[in-house]
Amino acid sequence: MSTFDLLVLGFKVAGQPENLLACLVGVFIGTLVGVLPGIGPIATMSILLPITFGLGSTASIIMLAGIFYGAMYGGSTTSILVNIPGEAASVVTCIDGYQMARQGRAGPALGVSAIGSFIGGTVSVVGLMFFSQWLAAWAVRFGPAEYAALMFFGLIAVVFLVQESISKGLIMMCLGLFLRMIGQDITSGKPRFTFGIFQLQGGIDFLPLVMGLFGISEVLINLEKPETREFISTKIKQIWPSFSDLKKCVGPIFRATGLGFFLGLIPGGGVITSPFFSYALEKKLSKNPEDFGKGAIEGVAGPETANNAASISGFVPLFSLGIPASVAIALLLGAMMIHGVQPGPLFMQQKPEMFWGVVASMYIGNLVCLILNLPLIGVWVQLLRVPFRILFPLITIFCLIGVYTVNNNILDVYLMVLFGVAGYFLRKRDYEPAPLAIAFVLEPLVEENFRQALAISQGSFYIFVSRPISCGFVIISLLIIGISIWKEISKYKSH
Amino acid sequence: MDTIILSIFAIIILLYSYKEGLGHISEPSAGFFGFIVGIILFITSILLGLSNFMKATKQHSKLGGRGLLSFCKVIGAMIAYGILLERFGILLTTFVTSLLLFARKDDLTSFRWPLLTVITTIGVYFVFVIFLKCHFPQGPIERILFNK
Repeated sequence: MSTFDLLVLGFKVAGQPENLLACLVGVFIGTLVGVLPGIGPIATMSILLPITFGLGSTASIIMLAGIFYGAMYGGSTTSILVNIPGEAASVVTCIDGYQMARQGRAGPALGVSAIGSFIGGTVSVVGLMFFSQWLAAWAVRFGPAEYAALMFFGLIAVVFLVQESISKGLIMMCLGLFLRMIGQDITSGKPRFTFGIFQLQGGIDFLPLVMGLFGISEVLINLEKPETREFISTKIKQIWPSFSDLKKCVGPIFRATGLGFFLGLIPGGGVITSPFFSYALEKKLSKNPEDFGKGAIEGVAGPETANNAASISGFVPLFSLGIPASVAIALLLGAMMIHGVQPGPLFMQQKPEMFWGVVASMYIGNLVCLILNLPLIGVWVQLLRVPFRILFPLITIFCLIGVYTVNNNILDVYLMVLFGVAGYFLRKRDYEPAPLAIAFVLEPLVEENFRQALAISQGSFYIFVSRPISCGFVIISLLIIGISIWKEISKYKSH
Repeated sequence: MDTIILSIFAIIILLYSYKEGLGHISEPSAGFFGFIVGIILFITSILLGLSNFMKATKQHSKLGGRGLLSFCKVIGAMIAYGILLERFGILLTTFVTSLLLFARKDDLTSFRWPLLTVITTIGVYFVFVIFLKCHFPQGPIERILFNK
């Protein structure tokens, strides 16, 4: 079947009522949580995971993906109007977006961010279609050594990019690996690390862990923040940018699309780093760099396009290699595994309707996001007025009921509370939970491939450097570790 | 402090991994991977301790005042949910938990607080029981209202 035929198949799948509804609900909730400061897409995805179990596997992935990229659209609204990023990827948008709003140009800022997001997202879906197929065809040749090295690279890249301190990142990674080892040995099925507790023999579930670490800890952290927000209260008019504004934004939007797409492929926060790179690039290329920080529309267009492009391209390593590029994608991987679907090089051959259905839903979802963010912007602005004291009880109740409904087991509720408290204290001490969650998802694959590779090589670690692909991943990983150590030493010297 | 806790934890992992059996390097056993993780955790926590010792450590914000009260309220409500759900059913448990969560010292006399609680309880029942068809333990209110 040609790519076109497969895409037609994808649109047929995405057009089925259940999948279409999942897409609409996903992007709607995504935009909503993107707009509301205090709860991000990761927390929302983890909270809503139990609900998706009632859906088919394709519908659940479509919905969760919609929440993720929908949040990228919505995040700009809060950044521009309140100067508080709705989620981490919209931090840079605050700089010029808020200044534009103060100058009475909130409309064009919101408009250009929606248009840029749409172009970045849609072009990235095209890239996802072709790049995933190519990467999967290449990855079919991977053996256990290549896979173990790739997983190692994925973990190290996440640790390096997500965490300010590599030692704290490595600690979180180790904790994630260990928590997943609790239960049964993947090869022999023998119970291990259960500390004599019978209930631990089934292992720790993914849901209480992520809902606690991201949902509950987010609530607890936000309880300490002040509720006062400096809100731009003037009426938002003329959403559609003027011709001169659009002319200024064409270059930044297309550069940011390419930049965001390629940064999103790298495990470890392309969604968060790409807006910063795009902003720096546009400032460097601009004829008037002094305008940046004072309300330059290019400073909104570039970063907003980049984060959307990166959010979509993050699906490439997931679908073709089976490794998550970010925590949000790790949640999707977890959801796929719960549904009995294992993404990887054979995923597109074994489940073409699912892959192409999700891809087609992204075209639909991006269009819906554009509609939600241009004509309906007034609705989202009103939602910004909902105070956190109303939101947090609802989030907490939703988490409690959601985690219980999966197994009808009260132990899951207590585990979620435990992980929530642990996540809260860890975050207070600057230990980001992202490497822990990603390591938790990847552990079975890392361990299985690592042990298989050692068994094949009869105990020789040389297998990881004797094959070109695995050797490449090992070298890049060691380089990342080397750079991090060098950075830590330079930081120490500067003190 | 972090270093001490993490080092002890790493040692526990190492000991348990050894107990689970390391096997041979050509045929790793159940504790082999855990042992490697334990070693990395131990080395990293020592390195973290050293780097904290060498540079001025950042002051972390402490829990206290209004933050502590809200923190305890949320944790207490969640534990209450766990204790009450299987005995009193979804309606009463959600009502009590919401009541605790929505309660604010400066808003106790207002009608908004119980109103929000009732709306949340009804909303939860509609979404989870009627729309999503989830099963929950039956409580006295369900028995009275629905004759179950």
